[in-house]
Order: sequence, then C-alpha cells, then structure tokens
Amino acid sequence: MSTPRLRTVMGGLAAVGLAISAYLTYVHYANLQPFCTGISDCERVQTSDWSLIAGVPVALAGLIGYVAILVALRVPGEAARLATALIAFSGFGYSAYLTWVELARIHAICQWCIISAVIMTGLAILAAVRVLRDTTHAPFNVV
Amino acid sequence: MPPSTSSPVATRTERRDAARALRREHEAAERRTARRRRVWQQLAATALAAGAIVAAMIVAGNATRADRAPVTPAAAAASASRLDGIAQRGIALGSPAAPVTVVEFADLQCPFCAQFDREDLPGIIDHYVRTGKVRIELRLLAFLGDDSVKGARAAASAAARNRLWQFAGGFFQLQGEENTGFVTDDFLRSIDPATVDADAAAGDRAIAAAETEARRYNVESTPSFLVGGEAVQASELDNAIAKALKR
Repeated sequence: MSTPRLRTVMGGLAAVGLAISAYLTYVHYANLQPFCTGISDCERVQTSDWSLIAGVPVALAGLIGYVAILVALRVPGEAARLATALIAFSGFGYSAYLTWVELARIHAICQWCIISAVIMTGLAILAAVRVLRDTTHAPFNVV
Repeated sequence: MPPSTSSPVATRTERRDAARALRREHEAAERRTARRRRVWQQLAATALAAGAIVAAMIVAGNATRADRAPVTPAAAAASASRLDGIAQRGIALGSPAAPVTVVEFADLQCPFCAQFDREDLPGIIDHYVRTGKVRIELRLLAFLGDDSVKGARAAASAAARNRLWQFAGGFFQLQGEENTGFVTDDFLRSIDPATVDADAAAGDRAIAAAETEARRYNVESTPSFLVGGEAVQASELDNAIAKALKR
C-alpha cells in the first residue's frame, strides 16, 4: 500500500470511528438508549461505572481522539506521523482495557465499542507502518 | 600469443574511483542503519508514552469510581427502612394478593443489580409494592464467583427468616470489588449477623432453584425480570408493570 493510500485508509477508519463516537456522545447527553443488536447490551455498558473518565464520557474522549487523528493526518512531517501514532496507540490501549472491562466486569458487550476498538487497532497498526515506512522511503543524498 | 591491448592492472585513477564508490556505499548503508534505528527508537518511545497515557486514563477512571460516597453499614441499615411495613415472605416482597408478580434475577456481586437496587427499586417499591399492586420475588443466581455463592447462601438464610430484601439491599449497598473475597464473616455480620452461620446446603438448593427458573426463561444476564411471566429488560420494567396492571 502506497503512503498516500495508507493515509487515505487511516482517514476513512478515523471518520467511521468519529461517526460512532459522535453518535454515542449524543446518546449520552440526550439521555437516550443507544441502538443495539440482540447480542449486545449497549445501555448497560454506556451507563456503567466505567463509562466516565474523571467525569468525561468515554464516548466524548473517543470523539476527541478521532478528531485529533484526522487533524494529525493532514499535517505533513515526522512529528505529525509520530503524533498520529501516539493517539492511535493510546486509543488502542484504552480500547483493549475497556473490552476487558466489558467482558470481565460489566459482563456485557456494546457493539459500538467493539467496532471502535477494532478501528483503533487498525489505526494503531497502520500508524506504526506509516512511521516505519519513513525509513525505507526516505531519500538518501549520497554524494 | 599476441600481447593484450588493455592492461590487466587497474590504473591509479580507477583504483581511487573504486575505493571512493565503496566508501560512499558503506557510508550510505551506515546512514540507513542509523536512520532505521532512530525510527524504531521513536516508535518505541511513542508506544511507551501511549502506555503512560492509558495508565493515567485508567487511574483517572478508577478515581472517579472511588470518589463516590462510601456506604457505611449504618447507611445500609438505614436504606432497609424503605421496606418497613411491607409484607415479606421467603423470597417475596409485597402482598400475596397483588395482581402482578415481578421476578428479579440477580447476582449479589453484579454491579448493575446493585445499581438497580439503589436507583430504580425504591421507586418501584413506593409506587407498586407498598400500594399492594405488585409482589416482587428475588431469585439469586451465583454465576460470578465464590463471593456470589457465599452471598446467595447467606441470602437464603435471611429468606428463611423473611429478611431477604433487607439483606439484599444491605449487600448491594456495601458491595465490594468482584471476586476479591470481600464476602467475609465480618461483611455478612455487618448486614445481618444471623447469616454468618448460614446452612450451605439450603443455600445451594435455593441457588439451584433460581438457576432452574433462569434456564426456563432463557435468562442470560442480571438483573433480568419477568413481569407476569414475560421477560423484560430493566429499562422497560416500569412500563411493563404499568401495562400488566391495566390488563
């Protein structure tokens, strides 16, 4: 996958994640029940003790993370690539923790959270590839 | 044999060019290696920083939960006063003549059962149970671990003395972290001293009976409810009771 295409795929994933987290943030503040399939129990997860970080809904933290990734993707340079990786790695780590919480503590799964966790995993992998690709594609001015 | 027209020995210029090319190739390889090493180091540092951010987020989340007002045994006992004056027999709370029976399936360690007990049950008791419209049965499952089993055995002992609902309310108020061994004799004593020496066999029979009922109605999570024999989600309980009362 070429570097511009990698960035496009990451942008697409982040946009889907942004839509999901925006929906869950809206549902949280509007005090509505999230749409949920029969195999999951989104309301239970969304109203659990783990749905807030220092008073901030996890969905809102996710929304901020996805926006930050989209912004960082548009900025050229090594620092922006590393910033993208930092946000994606953090999102992946916290998503992994929340998935464990859903399974081991809440005993319920939220489909939206699982989809977001999968997206963050993909973003973390692609962000790492993007940083490493900088090595192999960098021009060397041999004199 | 005629002599060769080109010399087999490289000229000084050729040797110098070859050496220079070799040196450049060597230097380029070194630069590539150094750059690769630097990028890997940056990636590792980024991963470490991300780990620190995740740890900080987890700590902040835990602090949010810990900040909730701690419940003392005295406060738990005070919450039991909401049941004053309501008929209680075995696992059932409310008048035996109530037109609607609600069955709650719960696990004493389940945080959502505790949340329901704190936030939703008081309203249901005031509106429907105290007024004689609804009778609630509490069937305790014990699928989360040993603390659930110990709690359910103690609960069966309380039910035998028609004190199940006070016991369950106190347990939910003081509920500890899941499967940490928090259901000690002291813990049980703080809720209902008579449950410390609960009959384990009788408790296990009550758990088995609850499990049989849960299987019959395909109950897969707690808290789950039956209203007039129909499975209902916690969020729909109030509407389902109101609908059942209109029938």
